[in-house]
Amino acid sequence: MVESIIGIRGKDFVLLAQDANTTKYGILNMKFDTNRLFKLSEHCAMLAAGEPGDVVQFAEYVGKNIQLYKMINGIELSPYACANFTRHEMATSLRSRNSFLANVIVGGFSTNERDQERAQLYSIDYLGAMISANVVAHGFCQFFALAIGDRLWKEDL
Amino acid sequence: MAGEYDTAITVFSPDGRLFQVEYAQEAVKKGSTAVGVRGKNIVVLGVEKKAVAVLQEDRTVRKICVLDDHVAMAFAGLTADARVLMHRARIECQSHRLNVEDPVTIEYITRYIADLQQKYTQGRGRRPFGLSTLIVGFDYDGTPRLYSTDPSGTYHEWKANAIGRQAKTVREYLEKAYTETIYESTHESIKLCIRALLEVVQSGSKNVEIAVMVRHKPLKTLSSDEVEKYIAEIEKENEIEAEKKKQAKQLGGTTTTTTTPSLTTQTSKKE
Repeated sequence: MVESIIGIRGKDFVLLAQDANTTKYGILNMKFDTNRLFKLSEHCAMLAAGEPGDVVQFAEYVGKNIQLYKMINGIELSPYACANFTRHEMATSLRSRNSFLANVIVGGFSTNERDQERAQLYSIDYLGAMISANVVAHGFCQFFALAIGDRLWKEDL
Repeated sequence: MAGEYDTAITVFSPDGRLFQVEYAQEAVKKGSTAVGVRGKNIVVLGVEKKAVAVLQEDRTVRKICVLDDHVAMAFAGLTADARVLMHRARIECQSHRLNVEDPVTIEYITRYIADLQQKYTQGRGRRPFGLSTLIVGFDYDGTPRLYSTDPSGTYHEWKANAIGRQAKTVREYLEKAYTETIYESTHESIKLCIRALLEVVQSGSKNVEIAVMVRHKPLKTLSSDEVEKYIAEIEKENEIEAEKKKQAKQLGGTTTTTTTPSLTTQTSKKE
């Protein structure tokens, strides 16, 4: 909850932001180079926050599977497809021995020209619930970010 | 004698041979030719493009494939077996990245593929994979590599190699033609690969497919225009060579006619 991640969708871009590069353990800062942003493909990335080990394990696992798809099929998955794959993995792992305590945001720009909306942004929580929205956030900042987004987000940013 | 011992591939023949493996190697010899050349800063793969049926979409015939961003593979032999092997290799490439945070070295993935091929020559009564592969790429430290595997599961590193139909002829040509200058130049390496293929394939960009990989860049398949340019250059060089040889032969002919008169003069002197 202490770690914050925010995603904002514009007309033809998505903006992904994370808070400071620290991992806390109670009142102590354990790590100063924490990177919560994981590249899934050339045009899609994932922000993940939550249990430190789970975050890295889950995000890297999803990332490598997206790469594998690219190698086998020769094309990149759209952010929509990446998000659905992520959600599926989250939901499957929840109903098994190894679940991940990680909240993620998947966002990117689809390379498929036929897509209606090419800037795609999704939020998936640790229970496998996925929503698509213009402003998404996880952590304590969500109380502020979502409220500000409701008030100030507009079309064609 | 061969018939008795090749039904169960786990068994050696009395003279120490694995016939199923040898038969698989025969299947490889029937496949279309593939050539690999390793230069200092480039690796080149060339394959013979077999003529497709009139109604067939020829872009679906892919003999050169990427295994990862920095590894590519060409094969000769059973296409279906190659598809299975490629799939396993691609998974292994990503798995390796996930577990150790490093891309595979070319030797690692070659060894993985070779191990897979070997597994099917031992036990469970399954037939071996009927293909040989040429695996090219750049290691993490930038070293270019070319490896080759065969149905028995052995692999070797090469400077240049050919597999498939008439591989022996092509390899002999490569042995004669491969020089240090070619190794140093990317342009010459590509030309050597095309030359080697043209030894056994009809000239023309529609009969060959060439793919090149340069350090830190993904595999690039040359367009038919680019291939045509190389072929034109090669044909020009061949013409110049042929001219030179013809001239040398002519010059050699005139020297023999001048020696005969001098011989007769000597004899008259003696007298």
